[in-house]
Amino acid sequence: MNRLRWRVFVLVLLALAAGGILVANVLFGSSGLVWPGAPQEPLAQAILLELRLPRVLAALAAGGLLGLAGALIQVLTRNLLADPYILGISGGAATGALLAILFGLPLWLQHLSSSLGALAALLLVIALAHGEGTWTRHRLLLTGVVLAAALGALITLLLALAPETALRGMLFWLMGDLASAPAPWFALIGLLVLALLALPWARDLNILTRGEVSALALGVAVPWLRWGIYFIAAAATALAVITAGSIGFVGLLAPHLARLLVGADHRLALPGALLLGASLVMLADLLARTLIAPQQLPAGALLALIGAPLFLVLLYRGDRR
Amino acid sequence: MNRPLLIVEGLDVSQGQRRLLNGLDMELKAGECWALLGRNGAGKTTLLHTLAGIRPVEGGSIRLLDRDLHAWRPRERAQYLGLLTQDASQGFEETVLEAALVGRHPYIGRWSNESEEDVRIARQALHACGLAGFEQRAVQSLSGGEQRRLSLATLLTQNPQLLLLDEPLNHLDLQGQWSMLHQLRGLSDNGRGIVMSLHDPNLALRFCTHALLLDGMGGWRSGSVSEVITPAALQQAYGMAMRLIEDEQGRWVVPDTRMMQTGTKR
Repeated sequence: MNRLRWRVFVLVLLALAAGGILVANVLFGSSGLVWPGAPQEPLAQAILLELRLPRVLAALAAGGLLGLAGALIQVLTRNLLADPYILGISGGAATGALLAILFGLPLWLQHLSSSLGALAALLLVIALAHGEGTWTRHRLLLTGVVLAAALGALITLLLALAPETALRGMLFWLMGDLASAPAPWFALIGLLVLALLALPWARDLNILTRGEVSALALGVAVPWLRWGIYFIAAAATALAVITAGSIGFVGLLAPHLARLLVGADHRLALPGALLLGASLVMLADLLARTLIAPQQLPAGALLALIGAPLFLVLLYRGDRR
Repeated sequence: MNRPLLIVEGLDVSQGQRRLLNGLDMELKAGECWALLGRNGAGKTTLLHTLAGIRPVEGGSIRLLDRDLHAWRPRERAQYLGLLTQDASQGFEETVLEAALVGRHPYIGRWSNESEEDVRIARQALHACGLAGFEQRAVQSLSGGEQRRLSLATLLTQNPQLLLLDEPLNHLDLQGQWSMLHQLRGLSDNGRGIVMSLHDPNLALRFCTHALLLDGMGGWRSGSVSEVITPAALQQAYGMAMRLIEDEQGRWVVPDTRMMQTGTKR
């Protein structure tokens, strides 16, 4: 059981790392280091509490949600290449958000529009992929992939039609943008609730990765479990995308990193994916704000730049083991 | 020892539009070891999945320990009835011990984890299947035969009264087949019930007490192995001329090579 103790230790380290990155995000930013205690300047207070804190909380929530959703979707489809965006939700949300930006609607209507887009895509995939039996998981994958491709084409058309002034905002939304994140508390509470809903089923998820027949024979309520996973993953993805735009790659990367670090047992891999997703997005956003400050970079692009080599190194080391 | 574990009455089984089994009656008591025989596609797997409660019952009834199979709560049922699937089903990345521990799932509550006792049971099952010392190996690194033995170890860890095995001998070499059948027969002699699909009627003759032979068109024969496994019955089910060889070591049913030209046609 030494191995288990080591994995729990790694999980604790991941939590500490996430906490550390969170603090760093609050202290550092495009206006340099701001120390909370020392000068009681109102400006410093405002930077910390009204700009940096909500933003880092949004990054934490979005990353955590995408890590969790990615781990769940990979079990649901029994496919390690799946990520939360194959459900088509991000495409739906992006279409909604870009339409709102194109028509110059205010920020809150942009968020509402992206929520409606996410919901529409979700309902469409459910309606199209509905069915029972082993065929379903392939159909779910294919439905999501095809819908995502169609929405991708729609998004390209919107970008082509958009005037210069709207284009920059649209591109930043597509690359993942935390600058205009609405109400991070909402996403944070959502993350907490969804994680608490998913975690008690972690052992059932382990069994489900072995296939439906084996899971049924071991007494797992497979149809219920699958719908449950689907809705938790969909809700998590939608919340993340509405909060931070479509930050790519983290939903695929975080679950894989978690499995490499704490093993495939979902009792550890689920919290691991959540923590890693949160850490990666927070880290990417920190770099996005500070690297060439005061100019800001898209966090999503930096995330893939950090994540891809990290993943390859760990994968290579894992193979040699 | 005479308690019926499983009572099947008038069971119909079909796959798509094809009726595979009409009105099957069978009663399986503790201590019996049943061979399920029939051509590819005759419905062996479909029947096993129906008996395991994974497929709905189309017609007739199945009772496990005197209670309707579908009246059981799934978790509770899994403590009495286990299924070894035809293909080794493995999770994302597991060690051998983790894979065996999966069998404890029906016994562990939602808010608990595997106890020392569960680990002990899993290690014991691995030992019984000749996999002692493999505990920390990755499942993917095992050979096909070793993975098959691991599947049996997982089933033994689940510790059901009634074991349904879908082609348990897949991937096993000659010695592996015999030792697994010895092991399974030992389990049924100790009061468990077994139904397993096999492709070799002679192994069924040697190791099983009863046999169920499907013709794939709705018809079936059941009874003791010597009643069911006869050249005439196999000829009808497999569409091959068969003959019986008997000596002081036992009985064998083998294809009749003199009839080969016409015999292989159905």
